[in-house]
Amino acid sequence: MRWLLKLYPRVWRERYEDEMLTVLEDHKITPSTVFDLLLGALDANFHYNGFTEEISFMLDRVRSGIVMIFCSFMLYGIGWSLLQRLNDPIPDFQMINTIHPEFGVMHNAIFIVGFISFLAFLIGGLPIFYISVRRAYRDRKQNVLSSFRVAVSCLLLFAIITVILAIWHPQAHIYNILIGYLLLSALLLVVGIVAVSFVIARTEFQLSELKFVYIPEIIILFGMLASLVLSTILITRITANAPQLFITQDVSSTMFITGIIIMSLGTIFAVIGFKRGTVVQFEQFIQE
Amino acid sequence: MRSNELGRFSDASFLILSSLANGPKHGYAMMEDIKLFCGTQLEPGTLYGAISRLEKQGWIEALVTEERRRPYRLTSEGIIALREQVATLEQVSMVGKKRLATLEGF
Repeated sequence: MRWLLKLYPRVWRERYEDEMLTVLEDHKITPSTVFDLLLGALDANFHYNGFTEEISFMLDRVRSGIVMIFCSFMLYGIGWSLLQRLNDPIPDFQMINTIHPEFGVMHNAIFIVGFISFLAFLIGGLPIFYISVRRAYRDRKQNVLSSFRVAVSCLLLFAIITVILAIWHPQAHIYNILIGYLLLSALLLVVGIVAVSFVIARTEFQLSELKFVYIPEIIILFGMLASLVLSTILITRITANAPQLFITQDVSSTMFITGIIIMSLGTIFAVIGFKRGTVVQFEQFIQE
Repeated sequence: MRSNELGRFSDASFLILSSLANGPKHGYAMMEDIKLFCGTQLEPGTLYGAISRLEKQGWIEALVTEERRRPYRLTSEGIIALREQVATLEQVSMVGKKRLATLEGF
């Protein structure tokens, strides 16, 4: 009888298939049962949308939580990138590292933890993004597709201006050009983040699709918290023991402190997003 | 009440609500109980069509699954709905009885 249940919509099967199979195992199957199941499948395909108000509320919470964590991680990423310049120029950093080897260890740890978070971000986020775009193409949802096109355009524009800058090697007004490049990149990043957020926020997901984001979210959050603590300790230690490390090519300690502030803001928003997306019923759903 | 939303499952829904009135039951137990108290053999397709609608209406709710069987129970809204349906049926039954008595008088 399992094959007959395949005629029911997927959302319906996720909810009732197991218990209905148990009933069918106990029930004497007659031609009337088969006919009844066929009628039931037809009815379910026409009338069952699977979203009671409670589930719909739960999905909204989980989805908005995902969007919040995505935006927070992007914000955190900017701060984390600023801190990566701490070992520039490398010879100076290596020299200090011989006296204070913990600086190198902490700097590497911040990089590794941030990178692991990034991997978790890709593992959890890319399937969700793929589902959104695929569903939008299938259902011709123009509001999702237009946001997707904006996101892709931002990525392409960023790639083009980066390639142009790499090939061009400007000799004059280099400072102005770099500032322009940074401002344009920041603008593209913001527009891209907003566009991707709209893609996710405008997609109707199944709970079964969103539950796979739960573990990556925990890893992302843990990584953000751990690297924030490590960064704060590192910057405090450098301030106390080797302030000359802040005088790098063109930046001072302000950049690194700004980085930590941005990372902190990103982490706080991510915690709020995680709390928002973790509703009691969703946890129960995962346990089942 | 939104009983019109139950469609062709309104009879099955009433039977399910009546079955759950004396305590939570899983799908097969409901089918057996209904067969016992009114002689109607509900098929699984009809049963789960009605269950999904009743759940959506908020008249019944699922409990924790036990060995692949998920019991259901009446909600307070379900009890009110069942009371109203029983009252309507009693009224219909009373009118039917009176008219039959009149008919038998001839």
